[in-house]
Amino acid sequence: MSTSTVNNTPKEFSPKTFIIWLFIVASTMLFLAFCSAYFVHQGDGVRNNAWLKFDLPFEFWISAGIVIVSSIFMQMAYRAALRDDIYKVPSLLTVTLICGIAFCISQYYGWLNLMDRGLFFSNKEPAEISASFVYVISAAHFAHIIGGLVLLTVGIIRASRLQIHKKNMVFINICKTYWHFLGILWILLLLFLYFA
Amino acid sequence: MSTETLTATHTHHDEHAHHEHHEPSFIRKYVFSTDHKMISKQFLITGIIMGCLGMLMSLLFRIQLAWPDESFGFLETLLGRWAKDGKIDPNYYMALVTIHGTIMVFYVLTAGLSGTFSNLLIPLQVGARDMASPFMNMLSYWFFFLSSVVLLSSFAVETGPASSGWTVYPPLSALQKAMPGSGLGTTLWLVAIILFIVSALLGGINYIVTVLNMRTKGMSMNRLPLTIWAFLLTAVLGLLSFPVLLGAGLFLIFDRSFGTSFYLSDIYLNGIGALTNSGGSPIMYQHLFWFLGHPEVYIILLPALGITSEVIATNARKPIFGYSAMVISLLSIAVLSFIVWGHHMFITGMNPFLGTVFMYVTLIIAVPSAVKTFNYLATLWKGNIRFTPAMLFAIGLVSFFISGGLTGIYLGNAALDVQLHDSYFVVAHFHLVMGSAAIFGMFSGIYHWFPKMFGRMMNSTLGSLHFWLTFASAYMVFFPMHFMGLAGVPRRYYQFSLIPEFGIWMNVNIFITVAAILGGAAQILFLYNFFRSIFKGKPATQNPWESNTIEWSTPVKHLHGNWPGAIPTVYRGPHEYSRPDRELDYFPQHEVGNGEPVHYEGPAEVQKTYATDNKESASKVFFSSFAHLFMLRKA
Ligand code: HEM
Ligand SMILES: [Cu+2]
Repeated sequence: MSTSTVNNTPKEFSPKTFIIWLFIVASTMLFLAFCSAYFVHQGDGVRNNAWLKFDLPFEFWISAGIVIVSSIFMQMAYRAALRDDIYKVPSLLTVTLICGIAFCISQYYGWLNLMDRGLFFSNKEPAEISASFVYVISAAHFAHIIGGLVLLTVGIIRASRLQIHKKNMVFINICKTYWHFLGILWILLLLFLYFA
Repeated sequence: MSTETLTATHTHHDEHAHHEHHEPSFIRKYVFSTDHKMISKQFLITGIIMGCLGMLMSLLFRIQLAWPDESFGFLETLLGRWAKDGKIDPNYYMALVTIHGTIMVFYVLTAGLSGTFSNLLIPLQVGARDMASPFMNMLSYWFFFLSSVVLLSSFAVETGPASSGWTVYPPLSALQKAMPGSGLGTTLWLVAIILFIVSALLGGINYIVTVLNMRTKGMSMNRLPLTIWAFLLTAVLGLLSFPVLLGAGLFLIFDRSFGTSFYLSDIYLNGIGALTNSGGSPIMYQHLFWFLGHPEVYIILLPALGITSEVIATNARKPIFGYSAMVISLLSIAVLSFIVWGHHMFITGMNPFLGTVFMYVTLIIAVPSAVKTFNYLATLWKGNIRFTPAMLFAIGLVSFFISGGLTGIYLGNAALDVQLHDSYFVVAHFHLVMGSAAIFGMFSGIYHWFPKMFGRMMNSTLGSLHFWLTFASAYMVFFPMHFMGLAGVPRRYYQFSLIPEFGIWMNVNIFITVAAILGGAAQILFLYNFFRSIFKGKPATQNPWESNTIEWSTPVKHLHGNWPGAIPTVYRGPHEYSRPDRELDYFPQHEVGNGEPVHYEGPAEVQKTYATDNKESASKVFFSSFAHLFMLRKA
């Protein structure tokens, strides 16, 4: 079977990888909806003097740093698999997972920070609706991260069973694509909230 | 090359033969099936049941509209406390209208139509063994099923189902105390819709991947049957718009249950007083909703148009007129549908300049729509027409698409819409173009592909009778509504007899209701024909309509994997009917011209586990992997 020369190069772009790309498109639409709602609302709010500008919690920026580090490890895991350096894949994925968990913790402290400043999910003043948006956007991203953590866990199990290697890159490719998407997404969302 | 090809084919076959040895259990076969053909039947039958319920609801509120001051004992028997003294409760009337609209738009014409035919036809017509992910496909059905159950369960709620219209606008939907249906009923509605969105996304992603990645050899995009083009674009529309509805729904849930104010501001609630919510905007909901809502109407219509295209070409025994024009017009309708949502909001106080922009883009949609219509007519022209029930329904679609589409152009004019908005004119418009045209497309598909689904034929005499009765009653029901709308009769009103100015419309309302009951009764013919034919219909031949598309090259008896041997290769487009150089008036896409090679089945299977001699346990690999990472061990 494996001697078949029909195609020698691993076929990476399998339908499954395509599925994750389409999922990414769908999530992107969700975040676009949130962001455009934010935008429209902000326009109204500013006109009516009812839009609070506040500093984003610094934890959110730390999260962005964590996300970059995690993406580097993800990429290393992917490269290791591509090189058939199979014994490094589980640990690298585990480091990625740990970074992901650290990201979650950092986000949690970010929310605590907001609440300490009296900015809650449900606004007390009309102007504080801006904080509600920050909660919604960051929480929706958080939910996506949880999905990513599940994916990574499955990846670690598979890698430990030596099921991730040069000739079977589909799953790690999915993990990689999704994880990088989450990282880029968080950075873009953060920049959006910062500059908008 | 050729030997490798054969090896690949063979290994795949062995695997298949192996599969067929043990019959799957009853549960795996009929309930949690991953076979696209079974899932398609599940969608269809659930859709038909939902359709019947939706139709019965409409008959109930039509009775109220026709005889607002009378009481009917049977209503009390049927609805109990919701129709005390034989008269439907006003809040319940609103609930019926709301759930009727929701069921018809989402459960019948989205899941029932797309779900059924995308599932059945995509693998069969592109030449694939199944969907890209059969498991996701199964989940898609079960989310849909769960969603239907949750929606219907709201009828068992003390305060009744959601009642703020199928568009569930806030504040009625955002405040739990705004009206009885705003309580638990609306919560269940939202849960149902979220489940529905998950189902639609799981299904849609699968459809796109299957069409783009899993076509058989020779099935280039310009040889795709128009059904597949339509299903593909439908899925793309869904993929891009349903997440936005999810966003809208989440904001609504937060406002309802978490005290936020995304949609709420400055509200005084009778009996409760002024609310503290502030800063929100209900118009924002409308933007988010209609960003889905308008593409949604094309999610409903495109599959119907695709089905019609194939049915008309097959039964006119002619190539569809202007295949590329058909594809391009589908594409441009799909693109345009994302930038016209504002035409549902002309009177929300939007900037007149913005309104004008939305008006022009809306009117442009008439162009691709007209292209499609003319192409249908041109295909029929001088065709050797076979009036099968499917063909009748397809022609019916064209008729409704014209009469309903024309009123869209009136509504798309911002200045006219100020008068027409929220009147019966809108009701007439969308029932013709969607409630009739798209439903006719669905019927057309059912009659046409019934032999493929169930291996038997439906009775065509009953089918034709069903067509004529439905066709006539649909026009009788919806046509008069235009005049009511022009005269200013508003939609979603419970009792017109309270408004003397509308007294002159009472007789028309009675006429409409009688026609609706007639139309409803005509569906009994369909139900009888459908369910009887599943068990007792005439056994189907392999290609009963002498059609070109490759789903008819599969055996009548369903196989897991669709084709017993290799998947056929495709040599030509789907519409080569009545070619002068051939004796037969059709030329199937897969028919071999001059000994082309056997089809090759795709790449060899990936190697699952890394080939290593020492069998280490997963946990050992896991821990030693850290040693490797820190270079303590060499690989
Ligand atoms: C030529 C193409 C069309 C144009 C220009 C058009 C235009 C419009 C406009 C302007 C409205 C808003 C009316 C109002 O609320 O005041 C409307 C409503 C509607 N249209 Fe169309 N339409 C077209 C085709 C379709 C098609 C093909 C469908 C469905 C298959 C459809 C379904 C609907 C529905 C469901 C509504 C009412 C939504 C509601 O308020 O409940 N339309 N249309
Ligand atoms: Cu529209």
